[in-house]
Amino acid sequence: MILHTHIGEAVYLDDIPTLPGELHGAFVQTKYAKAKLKSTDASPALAVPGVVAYITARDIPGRNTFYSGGGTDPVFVEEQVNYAGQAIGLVVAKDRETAVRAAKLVTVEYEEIEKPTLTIDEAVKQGREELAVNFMTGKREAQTLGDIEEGFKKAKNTLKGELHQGSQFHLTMEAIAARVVPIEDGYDVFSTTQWPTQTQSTVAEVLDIPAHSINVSVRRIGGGYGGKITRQHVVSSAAAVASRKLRCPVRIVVDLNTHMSLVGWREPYLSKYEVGFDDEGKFQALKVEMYSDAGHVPNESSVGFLGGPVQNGYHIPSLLFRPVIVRTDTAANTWCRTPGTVEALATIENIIEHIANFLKKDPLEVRLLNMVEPEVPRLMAPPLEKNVIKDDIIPLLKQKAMYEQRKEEVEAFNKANRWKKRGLSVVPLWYGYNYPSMFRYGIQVSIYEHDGTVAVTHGGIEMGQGINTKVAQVAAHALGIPIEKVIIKASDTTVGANSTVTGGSFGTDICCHGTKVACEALRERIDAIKGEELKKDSEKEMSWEQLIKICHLRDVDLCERYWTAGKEHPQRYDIWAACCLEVEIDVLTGQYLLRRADIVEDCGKSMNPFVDIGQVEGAFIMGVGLYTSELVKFDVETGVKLSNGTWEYKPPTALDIPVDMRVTLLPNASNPYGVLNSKATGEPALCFSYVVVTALRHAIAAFRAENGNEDWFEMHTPLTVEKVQQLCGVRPEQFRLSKRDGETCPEDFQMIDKDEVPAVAESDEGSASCSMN
Amino acid sequence: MTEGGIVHSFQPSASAVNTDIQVSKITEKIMASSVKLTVNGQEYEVDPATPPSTRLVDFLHEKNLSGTHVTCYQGGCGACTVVASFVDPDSGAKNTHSINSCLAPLLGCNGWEITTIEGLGNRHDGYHVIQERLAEYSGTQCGYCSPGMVMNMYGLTQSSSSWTASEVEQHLDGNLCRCTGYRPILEAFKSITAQDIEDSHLARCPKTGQACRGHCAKKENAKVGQFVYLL
Repeated sequence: MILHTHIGEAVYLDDIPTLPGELHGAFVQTKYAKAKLKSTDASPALAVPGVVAYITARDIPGRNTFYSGGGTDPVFVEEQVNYAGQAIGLVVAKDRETAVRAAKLVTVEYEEIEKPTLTIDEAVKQGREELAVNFMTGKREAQTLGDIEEGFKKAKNTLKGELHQGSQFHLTMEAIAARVVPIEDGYDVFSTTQWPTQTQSTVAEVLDIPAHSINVSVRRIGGGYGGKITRQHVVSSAAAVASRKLRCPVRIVVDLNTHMSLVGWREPYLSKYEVGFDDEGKFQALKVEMYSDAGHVPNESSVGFLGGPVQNGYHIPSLLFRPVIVRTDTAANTWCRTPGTVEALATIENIIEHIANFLKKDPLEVRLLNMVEPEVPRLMAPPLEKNVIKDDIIPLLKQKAMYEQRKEEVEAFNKANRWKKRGLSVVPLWYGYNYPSMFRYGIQVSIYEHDGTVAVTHGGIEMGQGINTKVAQVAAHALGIPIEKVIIKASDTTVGANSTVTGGSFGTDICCHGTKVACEALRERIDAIKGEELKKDSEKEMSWEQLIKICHLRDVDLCERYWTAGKEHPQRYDIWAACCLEVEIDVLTGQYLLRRADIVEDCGKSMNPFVDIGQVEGAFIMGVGLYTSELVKFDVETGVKLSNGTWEYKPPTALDIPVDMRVTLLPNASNPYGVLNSKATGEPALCFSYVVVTALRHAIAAFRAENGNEDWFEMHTPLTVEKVQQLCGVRPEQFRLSKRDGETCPEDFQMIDKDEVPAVAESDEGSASCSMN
Repeated sequence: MTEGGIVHSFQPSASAVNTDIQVSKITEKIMASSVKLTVNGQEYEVDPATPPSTRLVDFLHEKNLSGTHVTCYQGGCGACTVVASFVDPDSGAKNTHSINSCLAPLLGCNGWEITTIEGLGNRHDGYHVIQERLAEYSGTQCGYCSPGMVMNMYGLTQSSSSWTASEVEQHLDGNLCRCTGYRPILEAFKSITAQDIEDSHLARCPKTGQACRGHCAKKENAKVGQFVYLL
């Protein structure tokens, strides 16, 4: 969050004026996913006036990878192409426009072109799968709780199913970008990074120079969502190689087409499940396999961490979770706001819907029936102290959303309307929040003796989540001064040396914790002097400014640095939420409207409700995009990503949000753990956005049921408008007038054969492109 | 969305660059010294050698007006929105509305008056009510889309003397924001009335912080006075 004083004045990477002689780079990218480079001819590009050089892998003095610490992901292709859109080289020119245009003139010849593997199903068929590492045991094995075989033996009913969930482009409004400026003892690197330490390491490895000669500085970035944790390092590495070779400052700011094709997105997922349950709908046993598509190299798959999240807030007495990573001929996928957690939650919520459909029960009843009690053992998560969903959130949400009344209204509406249907659904969320010991940040608080103003530098990155706002609040609170006296400086690799990535909603919490510790140490030193002064003269009145002056004269260090050591992290806690959403679909066109969303989220004692509500709403809408409109398509022959711009890829816009959106932060919810009794808010709300799928399910199911088909149907996401239309299964025979007034569904209007209703929307079969499921 | 007239320059054909050079030579002959525009009240004459593919937004960045951002370069995200006033060649009437500066060819802006976020309000001269309202309603997170959002709303208020909540929603449909989920932006802009705009169309007074009522001497004097005082 930025202050109004910054609208139009906040500086992002490309807003920095160019230095004299600064050059601009543009990538040459592969046009096939599975092929070998035969030859490259850059001479047509080099002939363009203003073009200075063509940089390739041969110009890299160190390792050709932008994944430091042993991982591989080439900066530039040497021979084997891994995916379409991968960088082959960089055209460097005096201005950006010339570089971009000249990059298109580089001719590339390929050989051994093959049809690429683009989906999880294909990859599994080809055996390109491996079990993920169980992080509790360090082995590649499934994660289990209870006796799964016994559980299935006892189970009264069993169901099987599948759920495909598609990818999502982070779509940071600011693209990935970098500027590398040679200086007397190395390089100044400006990068749109969530992880400056890693930017420093990758540049050091690529250039084969020491880390201390690289200064990375980040004022702010225009959105992150995980897309700038490692992926932008292809840009900073390429700029560094060019800058070293040409001995000039080099800037690369990619356009959206390049951004979308050059780097990986959110991992696509496939879940396969078998569930055993009793006649009431209580879980008895569950087997879940989750396949994550890591892209061409599995550096960043999240699937191994999902044994906990796949239980949500439910009690599953016996559970087997098998996390599988597959490789495809696509860009290496990466973390994206609640990576895997949202897909795991969607999986269990889909299973609940499946059970409810089988038993013809209200899915909310099945959810509440399965709520886990405190102290019950859980897979990959400690037992709960309290089930806040059951005790506090669902009762409040039902009241706020007028659930019972609206459920009746929705049913009445569906009876009265033939071609419009509504659906109402509630999805709860348990989100285990455990500070990983590797998430550590350097923090320095400096008080200036001149006027008592304060500057804080922390190793976290401001990307819109409000870390700077909250850190300033904490500093002002801990020092006991007005917030106007506090300013937050850019993050850098000197004060913030070795700081970890800002991600997973951990950055804000831990930087606030560190700021609090540093400010308390300062306050202690200052208070000691104050005490001594008051001993000398008990009447002495000292303003903050005077006190700071005295401290300075008495040789007190007015700066404090703190390293947020893993062993000193606050204790873990659980985050709770639920959302109730009502949708309306147009059966004939598949268009839908989100009529009303009610959200209740437990933020503890919110440090800043404006920031926290903003995080909740923003994450929720990003999730709505993930599950509805954001479809990625590839050319199945070449593997070229066809959804590579705003004309082909559709995030939610202002008209796509719920007509009525109400967010409530759970009242009286102080958190005994965490920082200042608060809870993290950056990511959790994305998870319950799966409610858009369950609500659409009920609307679609209402139409299908009216036509005699109450069977379960699979809903693979994203649910684009055409998929919703296809799932409704409208048949031309249904376009008839009613026999009598008030009769909406005469018998002869029924679907001819319920099996003919498409279970899976295969919208792109036979066309030149395919959906990523 | 507006149809783009400059997309051709990105076709991957070997002749594209040469064609542009040829066209720019022709352009030079026909239009030499003839393209003038104002940005935030300042007049600029475009260098006649400017290639026809140059976008208005590139020109703004060249003039260090970097508050206007770019995300997509294809008219689909609204980050580059500025407000343009020009005389409609058909009707002869003066039109004012928001445009995507990434799709506007610079050489097509002859005689246009452009307002960017810097011209609307800034920390030296005071902020416009649209900027203030967006901040009050927490309508910014990463802030990258904010200048485009503000200029879009400003365009609506300049192209019409009144607007409904629904029109505000419709008008913002071409501006993407990935952080906020739009609700606070829409609420901020829906709260703005024609009277607010009228009160805010002049810059804030650096002395009083209130909208300039034109009572005191020139704005310049106030600034100089302040500067001297600080010295």
